[in-house]
Amino acid sequence: MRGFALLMAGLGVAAALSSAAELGFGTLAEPGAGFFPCAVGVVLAAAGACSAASGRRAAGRGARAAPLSRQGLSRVGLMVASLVGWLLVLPVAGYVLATFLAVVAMGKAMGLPGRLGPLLLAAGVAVGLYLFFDFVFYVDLPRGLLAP
Amino acid sequence: MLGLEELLRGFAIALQPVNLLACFLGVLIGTVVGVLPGLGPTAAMSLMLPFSVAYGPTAGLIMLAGVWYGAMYGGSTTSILVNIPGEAASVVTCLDGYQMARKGRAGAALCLVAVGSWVAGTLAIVALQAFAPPLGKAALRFGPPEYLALMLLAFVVLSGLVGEAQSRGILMLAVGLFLGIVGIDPISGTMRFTLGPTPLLQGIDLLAVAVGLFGIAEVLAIAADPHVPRLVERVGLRSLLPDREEARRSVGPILRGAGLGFFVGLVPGPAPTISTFLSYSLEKRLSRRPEAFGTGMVEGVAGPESANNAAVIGSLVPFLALGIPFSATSAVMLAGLRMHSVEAGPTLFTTRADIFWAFVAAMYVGNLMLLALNLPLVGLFARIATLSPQVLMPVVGVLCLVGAYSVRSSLVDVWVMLIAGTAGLWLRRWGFPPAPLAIGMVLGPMTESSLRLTMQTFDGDPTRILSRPLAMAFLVAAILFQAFVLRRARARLAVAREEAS
Repeated sequence: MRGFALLMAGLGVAAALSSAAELGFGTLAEPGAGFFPCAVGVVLAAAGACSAASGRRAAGRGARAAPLSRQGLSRVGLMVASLVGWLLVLPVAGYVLATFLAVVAMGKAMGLPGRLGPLLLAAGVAVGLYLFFDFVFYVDLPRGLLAP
Repeated sequence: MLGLEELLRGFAIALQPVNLLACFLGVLIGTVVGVLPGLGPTAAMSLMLPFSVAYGPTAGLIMLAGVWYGAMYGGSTTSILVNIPGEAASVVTCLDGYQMARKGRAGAALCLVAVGSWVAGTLAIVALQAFAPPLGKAALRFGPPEYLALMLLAFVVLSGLVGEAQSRGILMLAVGLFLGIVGIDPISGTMRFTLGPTPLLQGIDLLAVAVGLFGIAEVLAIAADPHVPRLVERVGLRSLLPDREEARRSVGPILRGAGLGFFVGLVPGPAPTISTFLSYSLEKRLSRRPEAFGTGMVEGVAGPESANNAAVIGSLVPFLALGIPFSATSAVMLAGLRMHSVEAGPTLFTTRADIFWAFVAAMYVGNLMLLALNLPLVGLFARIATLSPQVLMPVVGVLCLVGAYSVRSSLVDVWVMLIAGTAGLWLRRWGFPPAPLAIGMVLGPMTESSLRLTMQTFDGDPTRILSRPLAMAFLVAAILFQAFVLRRARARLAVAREEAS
């Protein structure tokens, strides 16, 4: 938690400095593109520093979030990998295939039992959503390998 | 009542089969669009434009408006059931709506949203019918100083959403303000934090961030729990309806949401989204148990959902009365009217009064249709929460992916959503509230443009804002509101001390 707060404080300082230097602060009568970002950067840096300090006090009192179990962590990893996989496969294989694979992978990561069940769920979700978005709402989902 | 005779004539037109069909199609498509994350009412209305042309100006306008307020209602469904906001205006509903679903009260929440949306929508139509021309003129007096003062008032009201850990809440607000800056500066055209000419030039989409912070973070949180609990074990018939206590507690928030939403709707910008945040914060401030907000408080669902429907109607006032679209959605409606060579504005009330009054009458009918359409579906929707997480979470995950992609057909938005979702999981474990981040992204761009334009207008002297009566009124309201909040907090502290002693 403190790490995140400190990271944000650092980002705030960097944003404030780069806004003032590169974007142009302007004047009070003619505020430039960096005027507001600079102010936001200062708020971000101050709030980050305060948050880090209060996090340190909380850590001193022993108030910490319980760590994730190994099983939970591996499930989260598999879910994130499935979602990232969808993004990487989509441009090549198209929406239907990418979604089919992602649902199977996420179902298995969540512990969905059997073989046929996940496959049927994945096929239903992939085709159903495709028909809905593409044919009803004209959202042009990538077709990839299935393109004519 | 003002215009009763004209309204009756309007009903005669609105109840014609073709107009009824257009109204039904509009609210049906709007509800579906709202339920699906990503697709917004503006995109759906743009898609409906060619169909609305075939129906003629009256039916076309009725259909487009139906899509809009239907989407506002539908957006709450996925927020309540699976913690995915269907629209930006439904982000707030995730906070308590989803917690109600986890307690087995999804049916009650959906029911209250349907009734609240109908009541607020109907009250807002009455206000539209009675006050459209004078309110439209008042909306024109809104310049950058008034807008800036209103933003300050909004920040004061919304500070209640920051939560107990104020430094973390303010940090999240600042992160949201920063994310709202990314993209091209609308005034000077300068690239800001885009890492060069990248897709970030378009800015970071609020909905992609919100779907990640709420939807994906929830999927990952459930995956992280080794026992993978079911959201709700079973849905009984009684749990589908709000009990007497929930209904009683909803009356005030619905009425306040209706009033607040209508007036916020008169202001340019994403009024429905802002109205939900304001309504939630107001209810939290007025509540005797503000600490219970976020744990499934019915006031946190009924108020915001009523406010966004009323805000949609409110934002029609400047469009109908002046012919000025204050949002992208009303610009699409204006385009729909112009396709039939009909001009919105003051002349609409005189030269094409038939269209105006039929439109007003159709909104009464459409709101009733929305209620009739959605109440029977409450049971079906509520049963989604009883599905096993092994089945539900992969579907929710894919829905988030497709939803984020469909907003702008951009893979960058999906990456943003994934990063927000993964970060969201850790942020919620560390006690950082996600709602202030969304507020920052909504209010940031508007605050910046009004601040810069005000400073330019007043030659760098911010005290000259006090010379503008409307802006002054907002500032006084902000001070009074803060005084009221401090007084309540002091009284609560005194009671707590008395109890302790």
